[in-house]
Amino acid sequence: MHETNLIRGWDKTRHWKLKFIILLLICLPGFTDYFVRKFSGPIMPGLTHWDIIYFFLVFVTVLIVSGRTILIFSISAVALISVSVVFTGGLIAFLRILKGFSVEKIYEYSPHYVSLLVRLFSVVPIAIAVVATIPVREYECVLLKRMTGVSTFERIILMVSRVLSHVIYTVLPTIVQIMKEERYARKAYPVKEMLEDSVMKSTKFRRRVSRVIAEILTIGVSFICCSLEYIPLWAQEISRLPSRKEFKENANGTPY
Amino acid sequence: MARHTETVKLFLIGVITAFAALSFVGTTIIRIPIPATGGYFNLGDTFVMIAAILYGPFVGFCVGFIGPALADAIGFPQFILATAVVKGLEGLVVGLVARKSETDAYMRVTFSLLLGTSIIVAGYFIFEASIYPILAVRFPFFGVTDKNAAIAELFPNTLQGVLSSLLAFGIWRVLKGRKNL
Repeated sequence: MHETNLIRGWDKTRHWKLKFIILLLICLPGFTDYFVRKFSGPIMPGLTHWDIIYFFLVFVTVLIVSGRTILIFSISAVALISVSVVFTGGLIAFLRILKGFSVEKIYEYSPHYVSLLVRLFSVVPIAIAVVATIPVREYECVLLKRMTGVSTFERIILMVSRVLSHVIYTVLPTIVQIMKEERYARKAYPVKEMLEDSVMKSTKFRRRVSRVIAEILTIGVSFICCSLEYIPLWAQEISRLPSRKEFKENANGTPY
Repeated sequence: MARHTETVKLFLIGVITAFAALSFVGTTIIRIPIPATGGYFNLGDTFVMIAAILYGPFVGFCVGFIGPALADAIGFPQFILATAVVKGLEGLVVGLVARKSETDAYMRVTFSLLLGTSIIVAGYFIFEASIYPILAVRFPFFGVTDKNAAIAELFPNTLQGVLSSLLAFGIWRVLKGRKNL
């Protein structure tokens, strides 16, 4: 039973407000970045005792409240984000020093990246856990089934939750798929082979650049089109839900 | 009539949410840090600019105000204030200049993107060189930049603005003929 709870997390729909408040309280120091550092001494440059305590506090809380699945997902997200933020940044700083563009030393930059990595490992899991705690689908079902009408604020919540769910669960996987397909296409028809026998070898570079630009534009356009696809439909659908006022006016008539 | 107005409002809310989410993703996934300031280079501006060009200043402002600022909350909380103000303003100005660009569309959009880039560069410079050091006197939380750091960030911010503008222009050219957007 205990293990099941750790895997699935605390039952999603029960006490979600309490879970939300707990996670929100824990995420405050991480997001303000103030209390965590103010009351603690350094273990090494860029890392304080509170950073470590906070890091473990976040992991244990997310594991108990949201479950192992969310924790693993958030670790993957941190790994993805830190590739560009921490490692590429560190590499750029290192190359700048190596080439003599910066007068500072490596040990002056390294604490920044150490603290950034630890901060990302604390902040991203708690942010994902906070978002995942809100039972959006269940709330949507409750609103759609409600017989007493829907307020304007609830309509906005419905629209926002639908669009966000669509972007997270449909658009992002679709874009990943498009990127994979573009990669296969690149492998199947490489520019090099296409132009091997061509007399127009001078255009090789141009074609290569054009292909990269075309791929980036394809991804950008796909991103936008996929995200906006159902918004007009949802706007129509949600605006047709009975309002509270309409319900009161028809209170003696047939319920919706 | 009232229902139509509500549908339009909901549609705009949906568009703002979608573009804010896209700019959040664009800002979070592609982040190249700038060692001098602790800030970072990203391409989230593309979506702010596109939203402003396609749907006008209000949508542009909301997208710029919400999306990139939320992305800053992950790892760079000190920059939330500057990002929200600068990118919100960028969306607003791009939308104001580019809207109703039926006849001289290319000129207006190009000019609006140039203005957007200038706002990014000038806005961050003003925040980092003047506003943050003043705020840092009372709130040490904002003590992350000074005039030298602001100068060091001029080039990456310009590059970010120009690349985002180019991408936005390319995407706008593809999407401008689509009436169902």
